[in-house]
Amino acid sequence: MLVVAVNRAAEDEGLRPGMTLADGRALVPDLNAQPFAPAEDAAALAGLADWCVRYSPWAAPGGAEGSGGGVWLDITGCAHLWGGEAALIADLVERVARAGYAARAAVADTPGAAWAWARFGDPAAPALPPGAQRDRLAPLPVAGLRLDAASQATLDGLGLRRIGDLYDLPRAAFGARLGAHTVRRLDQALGLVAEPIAPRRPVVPYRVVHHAAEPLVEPAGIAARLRELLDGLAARLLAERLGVRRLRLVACRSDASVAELVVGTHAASRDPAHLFRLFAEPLAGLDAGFGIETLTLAAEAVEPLAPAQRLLPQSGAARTGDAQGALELGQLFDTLEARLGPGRVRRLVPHASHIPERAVRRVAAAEATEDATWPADRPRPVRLLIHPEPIEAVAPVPDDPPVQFRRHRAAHRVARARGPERIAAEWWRDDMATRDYYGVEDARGRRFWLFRAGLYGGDETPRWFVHGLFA
Amino acid sequence: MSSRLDFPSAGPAPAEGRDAVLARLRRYLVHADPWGEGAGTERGRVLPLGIDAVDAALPWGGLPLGCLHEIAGPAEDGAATGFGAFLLGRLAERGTVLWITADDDLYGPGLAAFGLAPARLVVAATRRPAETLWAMETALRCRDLAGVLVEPRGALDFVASRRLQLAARASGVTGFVLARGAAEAAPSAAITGWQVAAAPSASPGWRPRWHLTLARCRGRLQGEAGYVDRWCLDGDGTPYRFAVAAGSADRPIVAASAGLAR
Repeated sequence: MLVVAVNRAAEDEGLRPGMTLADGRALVPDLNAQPFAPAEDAAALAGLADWCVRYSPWAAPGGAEGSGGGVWLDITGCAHLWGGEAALIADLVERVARAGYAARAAVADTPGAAWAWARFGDPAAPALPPGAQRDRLAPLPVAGLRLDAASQATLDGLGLRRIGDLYDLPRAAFGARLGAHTVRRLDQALGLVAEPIAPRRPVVPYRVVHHAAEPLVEPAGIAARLRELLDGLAARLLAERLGVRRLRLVACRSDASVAELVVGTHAASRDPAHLFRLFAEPLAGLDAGFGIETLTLAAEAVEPLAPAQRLLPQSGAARTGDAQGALELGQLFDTLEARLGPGRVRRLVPHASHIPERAVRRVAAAEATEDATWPADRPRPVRLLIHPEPIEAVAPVPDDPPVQFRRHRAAHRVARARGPERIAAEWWRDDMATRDYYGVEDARGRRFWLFRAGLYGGDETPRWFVHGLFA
Repeated sequence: MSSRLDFPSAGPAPAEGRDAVLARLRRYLVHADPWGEGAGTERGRVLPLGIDAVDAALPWGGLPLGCLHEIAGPAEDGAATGFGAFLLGRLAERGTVLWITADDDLYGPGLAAFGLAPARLVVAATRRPAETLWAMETALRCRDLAGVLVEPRGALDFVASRRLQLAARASGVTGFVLARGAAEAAPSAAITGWQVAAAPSASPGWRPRWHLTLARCRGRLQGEAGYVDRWCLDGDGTPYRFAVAAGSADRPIVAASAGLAR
C-alpha cells in the first residue's frame, strides 16, 4: 500500500507521497493512516468550490497534478470588494481553516503561476504583483510547473532543477527533448499561452450577492435578505427589459458548505412579490447550519419582458380588503407548480392516437393550445382509470356485450349496452391485445366503459376489464 | 319579483293572511341578505343553469356566483363527476377554469363533451390532502379564473368550507367541492349542496341521465310545503344541455321541519 498524501507533521518526520505504508510505519510507528477515497475527496473539493462562489462565481476544483488538488478561482474584478487581493486571500484562508482545512492560497496573473506560488512560494506574500511571475517563479523548483513524474525525472537528470533554468534554453531542442507538454506548462505559467478555467457552475450575468455581517440563522432574517436581493435583481432586469424564468439561490454557510434552491416560472416575471412567494416553501426547508454568511441570487434563464402598465386597483377590491393579494393567471400557475411540483399543473390536449389511454397528452398550463379537440362522434367517459381494472364478466360469444359483470365484489346486471368498438394495437407497436370496448349501463343507471382484451378462439382466454366511468 | 323591498310595517296587522306575510318576508330576506352574512353584501351575479325547474327552485333564479357550492355523489360511478363537469363547463364559457384533483384520472375527451375544451380547462394534480385545500384557497384568490372545482379525498369539515367560502366571496371566483363517496352530509358553509346519482336511461341513445337533488340551499326554506327538490335530468346535444325528464320528481319527506335550512 502506498502513501498518497501526508500532512505537515508527517512531512517533518520524513514521510513522502509515493513511499510504501510499511516504510512509513517504520519511520513513525504510531502513524494515523486513513484509506484513500478519491471520490469523496473530489466531492468535498467540489463542495468547497461551490462555497467559494461567495468570492467569485468563476470557481472550479482542479489542479490535481502533483501534490493534491485544490480550487481554481478567477477573481478578476472581484478583489476590490474585499479591499485588495491580499485581503481576499487572507479572508479565504481564514474561513477555510475555520471549516477544518489546512489551506494555502496564492494570486497571480496566470493559473500556472498561482499554482506554483501556492505550493512553493512565500506564504507571507501570497499575492504576486501583476507581471512579476517571470521573476518570482525563477527560484522555484520545476515541480511547480505541474509536470508528471517522468518529465520531472528527465529534467532532474539534465540538471535543470529550477524553473529559471528553463527560461533561456533553445525552444526547438527543448521541445524535442522534453516533450511539448513541458513547454506548454512553462508557457502557461508565464502567460504566453492562455489557460482558461471552466467554472463549475455556469456564470450568469444577472447575479446579486449579499454578504451578511453576522451569520444568518433565523428564517425571518434570511427571508428579509432574500427580499432585498429580489428587489435589487428586479431593478437591474427592469433596466434591461428582461424577465426571469429560473432563479437559483445559493446560500454559503459558515462551515464552507452550500445550500441551493431553484425556482422556475411559467412566464417571464420580475415581480419581486411573486418571486418571493415562489421561494416561500423551499425556504422553509432550508438548513442554515451554523449560519449563512453569503446569499447569492442568480437569474439563470432570462427572457425579454416588456414593461407593462399595472392596473389601478378596482373599487371593489378596495372595498373587500384585497389584503391577501389577487393573483394573475400565470402567477397562479407558478405558485401552484412551485408547491405541487413540476408538471402537476397542466392541460389535457388531444394526441393523435386511437388507443384511449394514449389519446390525451399533458402539456404545461401556460402553453397555448390550438383549438384542437377530440372527435365528437364517439361517446367517451369522463374518468379513465389509470390502470384498467380486471373484472369478471359473463358475455355471449363472440361479440355481444356482457350481460352481467362483477366489480369490487358487487354484481352489476347490464340493462343496456353500446358497442362493440374495436381498438387494435398500433401496427408499429405490438404491445397490446385487440380490445372490444362496450359502454354498459347497469340496472341502477350507472354506466361503465368495459373492454374485452383478446378475441375468443385465440390462444388465451380473453379477459374483461373496466376502463372508464361515464357521466 | 319586485325590486322594491316591502318591509312589513310594524303597525297593526294588515288584512292579508299570515302565509302571504311570511312569503313577503322570505323574499325580503333573500334579496337583502342572500347569504345570511349580515347587511351590505352586494347582489351576487347569477348563472342560469338552463334547466327551468332547477332555476325556479333556486331563490336567485340560477346558480349564484362568487361563492362555494358542494356536489356529492357515490364514488363508483361518474354521475357526480359529470354534474361537476356540467357546472364547470357552463362557467368555462366565460374564461379559464381549474380542476384540482388528487386522482389523476380525468379524461379529456369525456370532459370536452361538457364544454371543458383544452383551451379552457387546466388540471392541477395534488398528492397530499393539505396541498389540495391550499391549492383551492390559492386558486380562489385568482380573479382571472371563471371557476374552480376541487375533489378532496374525504369530506371537508366546516372550518375548511368556511374558509373557502370566505375566499370565494372576497374574490368573486365560484368554487365547487366535489365529494365522491362521502358519508352523510356534514355541516358545511357552502351556499348550495347538490346530490347526484345515476338514473336508468329511458330513451335510446347514449346520454347522461341523473337524479339530481338540491339537498341544501342557503336562503331558502328547504322542503317548502314538505317536499324535497329532486329532478331527473336528461342530457342532450354537444356540449351537453339538460332538461328535466318527467316533471320534478317531488316526493314528500316524512317529517317536514320548518325553519331556514343551512
